[in-house]
Amino acid sequence: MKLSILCLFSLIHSLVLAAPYQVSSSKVEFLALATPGALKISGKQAESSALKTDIKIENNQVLGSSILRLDTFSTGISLRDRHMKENYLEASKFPESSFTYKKLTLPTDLSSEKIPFEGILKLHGVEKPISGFVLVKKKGAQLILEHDFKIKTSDFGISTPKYMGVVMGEEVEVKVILEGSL
Amino acid sequence: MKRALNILVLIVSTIAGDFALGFPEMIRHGYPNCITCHVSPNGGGLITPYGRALSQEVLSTWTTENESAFLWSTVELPDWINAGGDFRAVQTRLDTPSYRSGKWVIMQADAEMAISNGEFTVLATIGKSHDSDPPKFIDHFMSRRHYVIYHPQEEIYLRAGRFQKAFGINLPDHIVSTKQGLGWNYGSETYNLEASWIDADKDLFLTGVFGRPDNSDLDREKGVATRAGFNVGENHKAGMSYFYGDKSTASRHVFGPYALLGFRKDLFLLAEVDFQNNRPDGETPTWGWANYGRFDYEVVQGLHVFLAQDLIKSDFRDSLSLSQSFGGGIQFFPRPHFEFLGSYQKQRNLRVSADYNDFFWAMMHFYL
Repeated sequence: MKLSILCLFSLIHSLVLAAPYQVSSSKVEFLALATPGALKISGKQAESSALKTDIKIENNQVLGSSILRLDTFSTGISLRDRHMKENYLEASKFPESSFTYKKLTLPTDLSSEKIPFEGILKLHGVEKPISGFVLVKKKGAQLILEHDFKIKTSDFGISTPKYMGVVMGEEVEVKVILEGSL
Repeated sequence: MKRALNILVLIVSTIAGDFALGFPEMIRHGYPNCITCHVSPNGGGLITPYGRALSQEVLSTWTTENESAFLWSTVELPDWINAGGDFRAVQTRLDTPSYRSGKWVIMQADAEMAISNGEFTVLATIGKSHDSDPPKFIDHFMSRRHYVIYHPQEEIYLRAGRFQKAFGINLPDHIVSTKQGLGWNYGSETYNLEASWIDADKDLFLTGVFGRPDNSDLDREKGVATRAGFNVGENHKAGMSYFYGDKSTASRHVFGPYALLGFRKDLFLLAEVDFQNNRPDGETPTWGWANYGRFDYEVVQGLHVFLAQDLIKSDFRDSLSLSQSFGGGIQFFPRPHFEFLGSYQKQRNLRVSADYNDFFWAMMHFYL
């Protein structure tokens, strides 16, 4: 109990002062629907190291950016992965995607709640403002930030993925989970 | 010996069922809905180009580019035509204390074609009938399935024609108790009107069953069937089915749950339990049940080993109404267009004998 209070105090204290947010593990996942059959196509980053972060927290504001290597994404079917990377993400031409926080204010008490965030996403060589929600969680000395947002592939100049009559919808749900310490 | 022969005839005739091949186990790869890979909303039968690509990508052990295409890409069809065909044959062997027997049967030799125009698709099969000495030349041929699909909006499909209604798991193996045991085996397709709703998390099929108005001698059931399925996560699905059927001598209610559980990409379980309330005219209604389960492990891509159990007890009050089997087998998809299956089972029918018989069957399937 004392340890928990100490951890929480330490976390809250760090929110006020400028402190780097050291991400120890990350998950990036996406989900899109395809027709016919309302097929769910989900993908995830196969290596945690594919996401590099440079994030700090100052006066409860989350600042900084992260860069994701796209060649590690996997949807579970190798042919689909190849098409995704070669034909749509064009990962050889645009190997990375980046995100920069514009507005994310953490609650002082780090209570578990969904709070809105805004930022700039660069994908497929195109920069666009995006917005979504972050679920803030604390686990011991760890601070977990679960980001949820939606993008449209056409906003980023990505052509509609289709293969043998199955067509993926434009809207893609993205989840980014960062776990780290201050 | 006569009993053993009866058993063999029963087994062969039921194995030689309408194998409208479907792959409900594709749930393990995140494919909960059949329509992604099949023309039929309920799966089975003619596969779409995407289904062909997927059979190459995730089902076959060895493959080369475009190997799964219709006739190995030697014939280019326009986008509005989809064609295929199936040839299946089975070798059986029955071993009882008093009798041994085996039989080679050509189960299916069918061609299938679908033509699409906008929201409409028309599909028909034509193949060799099982009548060995038909009185008329035309009777050498039969059409197992023929129907029209209207697809007015993304989630909705309407279908009219002759096909198997949606009930339980659309298993390709029609000898199991939840198919053949409930009377939905070879030639049991009826003329139906079907409405289905298929989205990312659930599906619902509602079918009006009109029997066989083209052949009233068959006295097929008329009634309604419904099936609702819910996806649990990306690799599990569970649902319930209900059927009410009425014919000249009896009516019945059949209902029960089913589950498709993809534990991993190489490990899955298919399970179905159905209860039947049979109501023969002028007789006391009976309650019974049928259940089937298959636990499957994919050793390497395309090579499966499985355990299966199968049971039907048509009347809970009649101990002799029990038939059951259990065993295992190997299923092999070496290359696109080819499938081989071998299964060994211990089985018994208490109406015939309390002893278990040894039954082996091997099936080969080739599709165009």
